[in-house]
Amino acid sequence: MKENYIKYPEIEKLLKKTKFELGEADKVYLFNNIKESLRKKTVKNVTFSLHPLKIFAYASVFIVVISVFVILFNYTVGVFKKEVSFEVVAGKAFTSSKEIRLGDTLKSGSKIFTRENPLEIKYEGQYFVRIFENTELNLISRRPDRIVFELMSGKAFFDISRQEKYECIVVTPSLEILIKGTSFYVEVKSFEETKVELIKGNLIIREKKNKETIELKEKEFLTYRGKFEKEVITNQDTSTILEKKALSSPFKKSSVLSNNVEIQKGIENYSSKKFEDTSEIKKLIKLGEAKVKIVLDDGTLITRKEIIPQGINIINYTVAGDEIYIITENERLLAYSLNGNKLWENSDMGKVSYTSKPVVYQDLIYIATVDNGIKIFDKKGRLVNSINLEDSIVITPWILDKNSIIFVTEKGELVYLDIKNRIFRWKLDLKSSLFYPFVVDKNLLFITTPYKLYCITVDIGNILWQKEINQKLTSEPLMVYRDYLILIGIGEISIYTQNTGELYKTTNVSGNILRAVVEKEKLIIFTENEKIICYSLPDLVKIYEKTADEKINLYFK
Amino acid sequence: MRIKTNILTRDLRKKFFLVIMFRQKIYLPIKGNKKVKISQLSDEELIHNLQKIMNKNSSEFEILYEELFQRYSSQVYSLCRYYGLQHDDSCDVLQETFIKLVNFIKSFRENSLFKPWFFKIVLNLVRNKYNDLKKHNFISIEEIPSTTPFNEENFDKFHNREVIIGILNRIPREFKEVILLRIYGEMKIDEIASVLNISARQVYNRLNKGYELVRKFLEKEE
Repeated sequence: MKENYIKYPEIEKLLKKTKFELGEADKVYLFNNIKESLRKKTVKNVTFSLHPLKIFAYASVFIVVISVFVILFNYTVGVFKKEVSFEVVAGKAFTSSKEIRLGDTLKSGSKIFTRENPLEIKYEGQYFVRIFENTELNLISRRPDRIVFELMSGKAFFDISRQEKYECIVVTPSLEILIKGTSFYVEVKSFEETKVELIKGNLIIREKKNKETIELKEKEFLTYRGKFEKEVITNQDTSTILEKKALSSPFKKSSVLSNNVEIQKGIENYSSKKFEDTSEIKKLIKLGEAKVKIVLDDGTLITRKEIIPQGINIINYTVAGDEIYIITENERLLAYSLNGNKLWENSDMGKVSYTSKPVVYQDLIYIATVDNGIKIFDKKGRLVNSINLEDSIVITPWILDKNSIIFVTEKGELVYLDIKNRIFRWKLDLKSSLFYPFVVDKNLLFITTPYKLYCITVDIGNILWQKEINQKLTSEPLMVYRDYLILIGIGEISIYTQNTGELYKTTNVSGNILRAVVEKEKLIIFTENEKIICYSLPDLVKIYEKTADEKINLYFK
Repeated sequence: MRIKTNILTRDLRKKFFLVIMFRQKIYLPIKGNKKVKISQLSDEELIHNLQKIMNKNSSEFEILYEELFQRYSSQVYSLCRYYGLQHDDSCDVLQETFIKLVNFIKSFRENSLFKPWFFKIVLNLVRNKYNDLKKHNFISIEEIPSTTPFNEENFDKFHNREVIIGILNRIPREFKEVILLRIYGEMKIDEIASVLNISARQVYNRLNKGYELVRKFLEKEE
């Protein structure tokens, strides 16, 4: 556009003459002001003039960006990672610098060596690991949700409850085992030989050398010797291949027996297969004699010397199979064979109450102590586990299974303890300081105080029924027979139905009852006046009554 | 904020004089290896040199910046006054303009012209200030003194700026802005078109219509 198109040049000329001229002083003043503003950065802050919604939007975006950054940073670099620490639940072991004991914590990077004792560790209830004897295991954790167990040699059992994804890996010199909610054994025989036995769940096993992968399913056994050899565990009963090989394994299973039943089994061992009334008493007495010779002080000095040193009293004992386990007053646990040979002795036990017996369950001996909670020994007399409890246990505990135990504390609380997770499933205050040994049958627990008889459901700890009782009880007053509960008073026997607690039968006995035994369909009682009386069950019809040998008193004294 | 000339001390005048003297002697190595005086630099060259200086408190930056201030402070001030602002508000806009110039200096592109870019900033700030004041009724349109007859001689003699301010404030804003940029911004038609984002023909039309209105008002006054 040409400038000469302007129609009114005279107006333009006129207006140009009216320009304002800023004085020099003003200029200096203004320029100094500007310089000062630039120095102090007192420029109008743009952010404050923003609309509040805009500020909110910017802030939200900023927070999201920062969060994403932090998450990514956490996953990639792991700066904010939580320290992973395993708790030692039982056993003994060593790191490169110190000895590991119960209650210690093992941090990521620990190298664990076990010698003659196994070690149990756990982490937040998700990972449970049993490291067997003579094993070397490294704990490696780069993130709290990803743990690597490096099994260099020996054997370990892993029980991993986490299900979501493969976050736990067991590495052996030749294999990598990816875990997803699994229980399994791993044994490293040599640098090139590894054995894996899966109890439950699934495993993916990867060969380190060729990266070959194999999936192991439940109850499958894998041997790796340069190549995979898989076999299915055919023995479905209880024991598994690796368990059988591990003689000292606490997981080694045997028939489930309570202490009372163990005694009966002992009796059965000495009785003939054909049970006859006439020979029965003799054989029982014979067993009694054998026990007297071994366990009790019958006055025979020779046998007494052989077993227990003079002046040391026996607190309690339990017979299991061909062995007898004795707790002495000087806080020792002794094991004898029934022919009188001493097998072993352990002094790690602590003080035990007179009313607490050793309980044998799955080749493990459980002993409830006054000060040291529950001690668990194997059949070679080695302490394999110790459960520390605040309260003393004064009554023989009941072992439901390898992870569940019921006991009564000194305060009168009946407690169901989950050993594996170290939690109390339930507690029940029975408001009594005196209890008699209790029995468990088909999810029902029967326990009696001097004045009350309770029936409690085992799974949730509810009182199903309770009865007032007005009789003096023997030291082991409760027995179960089919759907009945037998209550042995000193001069009276009562039979209740298990489910309702109704009194089914009752009978009086002349003479104080020392002990009663349920044998097949019969209840055999031993009285203070040296009588052996046999009743039919559950109707309590007297079958016979006989006078026993004198020595029976010694057996039941 | 407002400062009158008579408040200015002699020392300050001296200082300012020295600064001006000093500025004239400054040479910068631009245009190849040749050293030239700052006053010989074009606006664009000044801005490009300012862009290169990171430290805003350095003396080099200050000198170049001051040169720019000297060149355009009066133009900006005039534009503000004829837009309808009082002296103080005009000074505020002037300061703000030069602060913004520093803040946005990085956004000045290499091959673009300085004037349209600069007067865009000025015009935006003036408009905002004017609208703000108008919202709060701080703008008082001064009446043209009826006693002053209009002729060229009188106009030269009295510099009756208030008359022009009054007239410019009566004509529509679009004409007024074109006239202000043309007369007081000393801009060409194309540059005005660039500032206002309109075509050159539109600028031409608005300018002629604006002049016509000014003329009519002047004749009316006469």
